[in-house]
Amino acid sequence: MAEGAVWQPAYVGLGSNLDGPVDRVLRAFTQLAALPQTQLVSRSSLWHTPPVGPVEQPPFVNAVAALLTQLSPRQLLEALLAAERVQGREREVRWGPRTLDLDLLVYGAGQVDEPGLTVPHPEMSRRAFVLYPLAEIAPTLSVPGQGRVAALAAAADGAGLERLNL
Amino acid sequence: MNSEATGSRQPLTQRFVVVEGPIGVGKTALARRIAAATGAELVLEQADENPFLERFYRDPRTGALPAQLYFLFQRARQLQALRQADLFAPHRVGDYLLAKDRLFARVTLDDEEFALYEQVYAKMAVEAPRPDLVVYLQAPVEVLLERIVRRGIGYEQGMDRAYLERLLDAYTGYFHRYDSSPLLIVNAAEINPAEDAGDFEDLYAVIQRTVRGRHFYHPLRSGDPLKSLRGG
Repeated sequence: MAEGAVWQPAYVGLGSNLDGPVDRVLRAFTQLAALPQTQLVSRSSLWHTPPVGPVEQPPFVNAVAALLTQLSPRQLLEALLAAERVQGREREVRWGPRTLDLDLLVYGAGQVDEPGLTVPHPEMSRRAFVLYPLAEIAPTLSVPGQGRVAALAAAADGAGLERLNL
Repeated sequence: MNSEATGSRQPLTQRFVVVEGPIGVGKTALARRIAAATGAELVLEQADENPFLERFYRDPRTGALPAQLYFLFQRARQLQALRQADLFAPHRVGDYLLAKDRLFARVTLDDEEFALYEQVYAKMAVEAPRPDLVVYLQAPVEVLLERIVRRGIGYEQGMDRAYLERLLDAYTGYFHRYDSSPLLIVNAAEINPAEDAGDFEDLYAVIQRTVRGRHFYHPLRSGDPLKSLRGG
């Protein structure tokens, strides 16, 4: 029962900026719900960041999912990378790189600092496209070493961010 | 976010109020809020201090009995201390009943262990002070899970969904028969008095006037007709 009995809350950031980003993020929720030893408990709205600059590119779509999981942070990270690859494989045939990002933002009350795995995500406290959706589903969460989600979101610059009404 | 309930209103009608309910329903936060609003003294369970909890998480099967016994002794000691100061005591608000331990024990222990636990419990429970009001917060598993991740608390008792469901059943059965104190059963599926100032004010008014008997408080969020249709 190494990781056995304890269900830890974990928060995952989802993002896509390739063709059909809304569908990709929605599909990623389904993938998260199917992870072993893991329950998808709640999902944020989808948020939309209009592209900046002259280069024509699809908008970014972001969201956050809250899980309860028995996987360790490392196991969860591997599972997220595997889910990215599932969506990425199609894209290698049809489009360019990077269709879906799944970032492990927060895992329980703990902090992890290992090669390739830093939790809480070191940059999340500045990223409105993570904090706004996170504040929808976990406003009273305290991010270890960074502060309370609602306060972090209030301090973040969310210029251009829009909630999508689906 | 929601403003804190502003302090220094009239004190609690009751001398000792206990908020109970399953993991994640918001009992501790509500107890804190009542204390902050009325100046009552807080009597909170101290799960973090249980040195046997980690072993229980690692191996619930063999780790449960020492963890349960530790909780029982710790809580009995805490509640016993309250009795000694009764005469001059301020108003108090707590987030657990001693009986809660027995309820958890029924879920976590096997039959032989539970029989042993019962013998110990029977000897100690006599000394626990009787609340003047028990506020029992109810909510379905889905709502509990959502509140758990809202706060990022997660585990508390090595929980999973099935465990939470068994626990809810245990609570329901217990309070169905409960008659030791006045009881206010709150359907907290649609409201979150721990976080929402309006919800808190409404519930607090009901608490203040509940001094005897058994009552149900079944609030529904106004302004959302769909929600009231859904709220069973």
